[in-house]
Amino acid sequence: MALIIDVFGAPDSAAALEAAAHASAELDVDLQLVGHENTLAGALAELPCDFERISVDHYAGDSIDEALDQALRLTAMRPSTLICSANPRGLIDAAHRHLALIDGVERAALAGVYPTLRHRGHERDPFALLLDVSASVEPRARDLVVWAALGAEYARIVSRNDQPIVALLANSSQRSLCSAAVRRAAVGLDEVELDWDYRGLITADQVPAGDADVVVAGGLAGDVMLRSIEGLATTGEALVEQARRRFRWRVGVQMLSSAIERLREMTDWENYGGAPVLGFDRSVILIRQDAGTRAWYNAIRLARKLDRGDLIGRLRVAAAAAGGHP
Amino acid sequence: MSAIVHYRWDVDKTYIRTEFDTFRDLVRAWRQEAEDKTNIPGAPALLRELLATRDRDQSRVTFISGSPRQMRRVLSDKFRLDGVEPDAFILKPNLSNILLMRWKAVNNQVGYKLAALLDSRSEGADEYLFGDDSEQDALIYSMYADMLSGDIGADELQETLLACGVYEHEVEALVRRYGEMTQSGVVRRVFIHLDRRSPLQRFLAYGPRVVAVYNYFQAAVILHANGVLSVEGVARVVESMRLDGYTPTRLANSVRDLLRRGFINASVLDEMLGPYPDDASGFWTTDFFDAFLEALDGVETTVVRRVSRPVRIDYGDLIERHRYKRPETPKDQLPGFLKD
Repeated sequence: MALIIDVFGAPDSAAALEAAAHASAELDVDLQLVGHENTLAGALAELPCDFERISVDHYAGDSIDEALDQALRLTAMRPSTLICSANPRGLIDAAHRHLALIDGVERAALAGVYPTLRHRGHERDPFALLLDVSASVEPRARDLVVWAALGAEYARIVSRNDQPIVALLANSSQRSLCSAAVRRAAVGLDEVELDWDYRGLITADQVPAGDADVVVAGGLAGDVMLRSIEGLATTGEALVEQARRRFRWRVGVQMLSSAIERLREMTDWENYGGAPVLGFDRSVILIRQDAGTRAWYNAIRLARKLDRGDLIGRLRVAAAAAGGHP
Repeated sequence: MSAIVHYRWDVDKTYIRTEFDTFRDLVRAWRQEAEDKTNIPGAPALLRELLATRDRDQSRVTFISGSPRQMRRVLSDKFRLDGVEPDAFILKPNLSNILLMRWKAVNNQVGYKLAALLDSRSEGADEYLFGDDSEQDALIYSMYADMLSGDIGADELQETLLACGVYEHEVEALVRRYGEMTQSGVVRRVFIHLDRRSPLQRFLAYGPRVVAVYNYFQAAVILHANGVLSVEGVARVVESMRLDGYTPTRLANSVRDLLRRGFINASVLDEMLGPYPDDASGFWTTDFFDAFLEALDGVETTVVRRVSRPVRIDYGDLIERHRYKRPETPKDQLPGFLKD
């Protein structure tokens, strides 16, 4: 499998390069980097790195969008995975121009991950999956059903979670109060024979608890939900920092320091690497704009895991099984 | 080219894949029989091809290893299995070093290897040296090459050896030998196998004589470019590496790396890769070769830097850098669910 990394479009290209260099020397992966060849090769020569495992696809221009297009064209040429750090909406639009959708999928979904207290699967994965989070227009019921199937299959591979719990994000647990798309998707999912655990509707307050392993939502609701969770985490961090400034509280924070550190480690999104875009016939992993070396490195490991788990092949089967419903 | 060509090889991590980072690794290496030892892909094939290019009595092969002398039987058996018959095989007297409590000599390779290179020298020969990046081979081989050409001052040699931790009496002996030796023969190339995947930048200071290579296909291509190895010889090295699991993509990436570093140019590649006559057979007609050509195609390669002019090596500066230690990798902080 080839793994393509759009280094040119990475806000912190040094972090992307360092991760690629480490991965080339440590992991059994072939990497194809998109960027200025002279710059990349010169920088890599200063790092422990394996040029047997790295090729550079020279991008001579200075447009981030063009570099992303070039990376997507390479991805389309043969079975491969793209890792990039781009504007989510822009990435999905560009991917639609260059990549084919899996049969049965009409819209691709950007998935996000969020840490929960409940760990899942054989891998004790602390992250749950939320899709779609692309802030796109509201989906149709059919999209929600297919995304549920794609999300469940993804969870099986990444968390080795044989029976992922899947739920639909709704404004109420009563179907009659939900939007037409959610209502029809819920009916559709009731009718399909599923080999994963469909739990019905879930409200926003249940999401952070980790009641579901895969939460399916419209792009706008998913985006709001994910940003709320990230905002809460940031507020929590700020509160701890504020507490450190008061002497009496500082003692308490100090006493809790190992627990706080553990919580911080568990909820650190860099542990996950990146968010997958599901629905195309190639794997695409989106990295956050502020990603450091660890996130890039973990994204490469995630890509390798998806390849070894035959993600695309299994998504094809899942989409075909869910297609036509409702 | 002179009448005699002398190939000098280190053994561990250059010719044989050896791990000795931990005590357990050492014990395992010690207990292995010849058939358990694994080659670095392409190493025996390259050596056999180099020896096949001329009459055997015009070539010399010397293995100089930091392994203890007690390994002689197993390693000799290994060479026999590989179809390689060395003219000299020098091992380190580690047991006597321990018994005489010469602790610096146990760990330090500089004094031992330099003396061994001088002891086994063929006067007036063209030399090709093969080492790796886990010890100080680039430094030792460069010092030896500069001793042959007279490009290192006696004072600089003395200071460098002392800075490397060589015993004073050994330093005196080496400097005395340098003063007495006739400058004949030349080290044409030093190949450093990047077993630890050290940064390429680290080897720039040694000049173009030292070529850091990720694999022996790269060495074979350079030796072909230098007129030492035939294109058929290169193909046989590739074939042996293919059997060891090398993919066309990895080999194509290796070629691009050499082009970028300026060790070969596009004309070498064109000459090597064809066009081949219609009656071409063997390797040139395999799917592997087709895939290799395909992997080479379509990616523009620009030269990052050329390394064509010899440099005067600043040994004092190099001492500080010769023992490269790999920084911690992010894998140590991996979450459980991403582990294999």
